Amino acid sequence: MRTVRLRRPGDDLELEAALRDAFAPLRARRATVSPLRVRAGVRWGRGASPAALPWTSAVSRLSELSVAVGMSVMVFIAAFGVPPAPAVDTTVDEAKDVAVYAVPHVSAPADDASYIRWLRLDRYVPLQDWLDPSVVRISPVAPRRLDPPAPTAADEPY
Amino acid sequence: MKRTLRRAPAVRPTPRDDLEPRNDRELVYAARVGDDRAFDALFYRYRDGVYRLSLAITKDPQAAEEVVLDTFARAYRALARLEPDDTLRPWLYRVAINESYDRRPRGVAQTPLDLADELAMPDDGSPARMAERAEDRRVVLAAVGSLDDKHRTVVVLHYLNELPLAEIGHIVGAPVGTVKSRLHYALKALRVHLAQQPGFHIEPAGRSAATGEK
Repeated sequence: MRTVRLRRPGDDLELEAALRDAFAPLRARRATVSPLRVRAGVRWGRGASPAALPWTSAVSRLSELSVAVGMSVMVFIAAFGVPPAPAVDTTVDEAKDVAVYAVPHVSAPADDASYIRWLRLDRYVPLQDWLDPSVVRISPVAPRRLDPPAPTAADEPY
Repeated sequence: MKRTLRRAPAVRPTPRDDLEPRNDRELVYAARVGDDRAFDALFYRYRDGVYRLSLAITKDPQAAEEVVLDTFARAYRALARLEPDDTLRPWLYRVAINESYDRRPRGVAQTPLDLADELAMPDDGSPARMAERAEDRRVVLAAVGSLDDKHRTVVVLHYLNELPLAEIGHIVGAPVGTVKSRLHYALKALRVHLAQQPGFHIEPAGRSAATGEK
């Protein structure tokens, strides 16, 4: 049979004694966490330490903000798109009148053999191989003869 | 015979509250400028009290340890603006109470703390007597758990943490008269609850030693 703990009915002293007795096991409990966990959590997981707050926090917040702005702009552009640029008219303006058409400037070819040939034949004389003959007129000035004439018998010194 | 000197392992002394002469204000100021040992002293001074308070509310040892970590993490972050008069305890306990109620599962009936082994503390009596006392403790804790939050908080702070009513007033943000009133009504509700329990011969009226009210 259980004994009666509160012997005097209605006496709060007994009630308070019962409360203190009920909390006694809890009062004996001790936590096992260490302050190292608190500091580690604050520094690496829950925010910045007070000493590092003015510098690292500001820099990290600024970098986070810049990345966020950049990502937002990219997402915005991808979502709404950019109107395509107006098409550039790439057709060649062909001259029908060869008399008034200026001699086109021909850019240097890429390969060595063509480049040497281009130098020797005067860069302002378009090569028939490269240009449409209907567009380019032949230069009114005779091309200079850069190659020496072939030797003849009269040139023989002997 | 040649004697070999064995070097004792370097053991970092554990900060002890009773060895720390500085008060909370001095420790806060020291921790503010980066003195980790000052913060450790604060931690060890109030760790167990925060833990017990949270354990009484959450009834979950793991949640109570998380509350300890979160409470002191908030204190660490707030070092720059903390201005304790003499003791940091009211601020810490107030944060711990809020964290504990946030972690308490909502919508679930609160059950008494399941610490059967610890509730049956070693006693000078027989095993039957120990079991009987453990059962009594469960009944009383269940009655405390049936109180609403503000009344249970006052009961826990007064009878578990053994805080004076004035400091409880600082913690809960209420005048001492309000704390006395809450404690009075909490004890009254506990009397009503325990009067319905078999074996507890108690009537729902009495004078409280803590509040002096009837």
